[in-house]
Amino acid sequence: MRWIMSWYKKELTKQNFRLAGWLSVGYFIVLFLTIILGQIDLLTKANENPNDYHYYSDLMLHGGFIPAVLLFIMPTLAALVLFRYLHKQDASDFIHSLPSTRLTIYLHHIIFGVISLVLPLVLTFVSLLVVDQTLDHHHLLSITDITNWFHLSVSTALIVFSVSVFVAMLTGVTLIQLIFTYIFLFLPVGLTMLVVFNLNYALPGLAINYIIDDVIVHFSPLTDINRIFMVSSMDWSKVIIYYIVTAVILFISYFLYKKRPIESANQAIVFEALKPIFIYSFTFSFTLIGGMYSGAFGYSIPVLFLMYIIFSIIGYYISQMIVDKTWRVFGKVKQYGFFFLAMTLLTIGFSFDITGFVNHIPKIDEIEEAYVIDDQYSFYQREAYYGRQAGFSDVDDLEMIQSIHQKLIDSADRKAFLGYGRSIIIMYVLDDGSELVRQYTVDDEVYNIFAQYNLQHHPIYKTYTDPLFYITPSRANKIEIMSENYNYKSVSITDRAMIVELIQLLREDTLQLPKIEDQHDMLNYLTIHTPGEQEVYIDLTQEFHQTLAWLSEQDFAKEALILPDDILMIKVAPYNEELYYDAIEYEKAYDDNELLVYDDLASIEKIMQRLSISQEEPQRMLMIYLKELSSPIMRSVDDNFSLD
Amino acid sequence: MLEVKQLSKKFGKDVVVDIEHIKISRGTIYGLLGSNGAGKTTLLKMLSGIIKPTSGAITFEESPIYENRELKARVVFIPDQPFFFQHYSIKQLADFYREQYPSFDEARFLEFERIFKLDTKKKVHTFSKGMQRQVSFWLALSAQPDYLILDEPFDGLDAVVRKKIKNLIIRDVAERDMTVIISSHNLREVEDLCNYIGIIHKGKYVIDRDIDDLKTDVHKVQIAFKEIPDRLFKDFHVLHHETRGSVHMYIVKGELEDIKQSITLSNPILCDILPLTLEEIFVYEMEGIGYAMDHVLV
Repeated sequence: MRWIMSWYKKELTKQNFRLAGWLSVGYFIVLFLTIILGQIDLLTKANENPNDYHYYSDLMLHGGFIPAVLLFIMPTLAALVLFRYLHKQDASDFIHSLPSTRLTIYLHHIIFGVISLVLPLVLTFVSLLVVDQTLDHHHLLSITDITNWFHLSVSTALIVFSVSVFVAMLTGVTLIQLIFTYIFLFLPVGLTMLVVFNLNYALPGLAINYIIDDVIVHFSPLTDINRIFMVSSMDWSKVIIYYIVTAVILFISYFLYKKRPIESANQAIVFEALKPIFIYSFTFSFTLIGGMYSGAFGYSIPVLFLMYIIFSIIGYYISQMIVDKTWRVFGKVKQYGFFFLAMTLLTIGFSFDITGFVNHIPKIDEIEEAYVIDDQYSFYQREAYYGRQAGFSDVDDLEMIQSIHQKLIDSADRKAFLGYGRSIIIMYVLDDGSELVRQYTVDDEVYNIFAQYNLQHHPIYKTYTDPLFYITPSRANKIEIMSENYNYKSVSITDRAMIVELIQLLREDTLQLPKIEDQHDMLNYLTIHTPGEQEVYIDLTQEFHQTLAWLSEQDFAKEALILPDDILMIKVAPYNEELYYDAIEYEKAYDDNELLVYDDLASIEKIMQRLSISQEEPQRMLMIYLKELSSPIMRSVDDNFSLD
Repeated sequence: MLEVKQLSKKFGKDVVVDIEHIKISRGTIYGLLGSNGAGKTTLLKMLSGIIKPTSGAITFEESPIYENRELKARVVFIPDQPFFFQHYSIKQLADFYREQYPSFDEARFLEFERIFKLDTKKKVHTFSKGMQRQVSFWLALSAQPDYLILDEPFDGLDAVVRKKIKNLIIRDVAERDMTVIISSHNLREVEDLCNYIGIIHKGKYVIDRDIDDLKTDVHKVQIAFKEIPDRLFKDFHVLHHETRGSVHMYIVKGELEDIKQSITLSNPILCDILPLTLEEIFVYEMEGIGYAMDHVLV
């Protein structure tokens, strides 16, 4: 304790308070007005009528936009004000002439900064607990919610503060500290995005993996802002990582402070060694921005190169101006020369594909498994949640995939990724466990080539794309079979053994389903519910033979399915696009002479059996009237449907 | 004792200070002279432990100054533009100094209040430049440093304030054996105060001399002969020699009595030994080592 007392400088803290204290006070006032008063208001209203209370586990949502934005503004301001002395020569000289070591000075500023940010949050936290205890009669808000909000806010504020302190150590200009704090926070995502975007030009087939995207976003609280608003369950590991990273950055910043030449206040970059690094990386980023700019406007490849050159020159001179703090930098060309040379070699290297990236298709005996994915988002989501299903491994299948891949390579275009085509991913799992992933953006023409392979009917494809094959049957707790039109009929199956049995049958049927155009519609669908998971939706068709047989066996058919018995009549009208699927409009547009009406059971049965799934241009509209229901089910059918 | 050895400081590729050796004993008032941009401020900031030398050593009583808390508590640096925290009054600044410098003396602080007659509750930024300078001395001397380092302390001050501050410095040197280092680009400004002078030019030390020695050591001799004797001043160090008609003017280093004796032996027609101003001494001394004074000092 005595050691601390002798070390602690009260007057230095007072000086810090005069500099930055107002920030802390202001911050608390804003938090008080938004979050605390907001909660009081909400809870008072909720006590009058509990239904008025909109529960969000994330308190940030209650406070609105302002507290969340302040999490990124206040820490930067605090760091800016507290370390301003480093950027003013006279102040810097004075502080460092005092009989205090840099460690003492640094710790006083850091500790003050941390307290000035955390204290308003602690006060808000305590106030919220009090508000919660006194006003929350219906237990709408839990202490966990408040604690989560607190840690989320503190961890975010501290990491932003530490980044800003880190930048303050590298520069001698406060404005640059401000700008580069946010650039650094955005850097992980920004740079990756730029690099990947530009590599696409050079390497058709390059895969932008959702997972990578997902991961990088979390590298900075600025790009991870979702977390602050959308958090449904608290990710403690991330909060802890933020605390640790804060400590690490502040630790590194101390060493930078010790190394920092005091005389370089006012210089844009205080460490000589950083200057060339800054110039080259800034120029490089600008060059990549040029590529993105060109891409945004869909310019041709020669214009792309022109953009690269123009943007690199702009970036180069901006960086030189920042470093030298003068306009007169246009005489400096040597470093640009090096940059241009390096970039040219790099571009040539990538364009000529010296690593053989573009044309590489692994050999059959190297491939363990292969996947063709045309809905990557769902695929990766399911994979992340359930784990991966087996892919193609048969030699015949693999040869087919290689041939698809070859066709995609042959038709690949450097600029295709800019367009809005569909995306096809080919993923090989190789013998050594590594993955080789290629992604192609294809237009309709190429997609048709792909579609000819009829991959969608392949059982393997079905197992790794259909959610039905991912769920764990024993975890499902309900299967609902429902009919169209306001649940004319519906049945819930909750018996676990039956559920497991039914899922098994559904899987078997799904694997054996014919092509979609050979299937016949029913007016029923089915959902499988698993707690905590998205429900699985299946459109039943008449080709789900085993399932339908089972439903009859278990006496569910009559309760669950719309059968010919349930149909009063079917009216058939010519299809008219302008009438949409509106029964009343059809009734108005055609009188009974123009409509074919079938009300005998035999005809109804026949029509229902032929109810194909419309793939082509619709030709006729069927209006299916159910018994005891006035509005009909509307179904359009194409040429394949015949009444004879 | 303050000692500097093989000191150099680079800003980027420019060598700003490059000094082989300086030694300053306690109780010295040391004048550091040099034109603008000679490296004075950089040297003083290194001496104060503010900036780190690129290489070399600065020691106060054998310990290095950089990041040395105990030592820095005995050193006060006043820059050419005194710095004060924004919106601080003298009283608040005194609180700050009191905490930083354990030797801060309350009685002296109050005594200075009577001398300077400034309102201690007023914000320092509302004071004139001369008053602010007085405040910086007030605070610095209240801290009772063993070493006081001053960068151009008299620049732009009127004669009254200048006199007042000089007296305060001299009193502390006399009473407490304080060591003072004063930089200036003007020799006349500091010659009545300093007892030691060092001249720095383009970062290099040109010369350093004890003023008392210089004044007794260097003499201007105007002399005329019928015939110039060969051995005139052969045993002395002649800094300068010029001839106007038959009259020779010598600047000679040596004991006055020895010089007189030597002259008598040479049998001149006319002889006059004159005292030199400090400025003249430096002009000739530096000429002797190949520098033109007007290039080195303004």
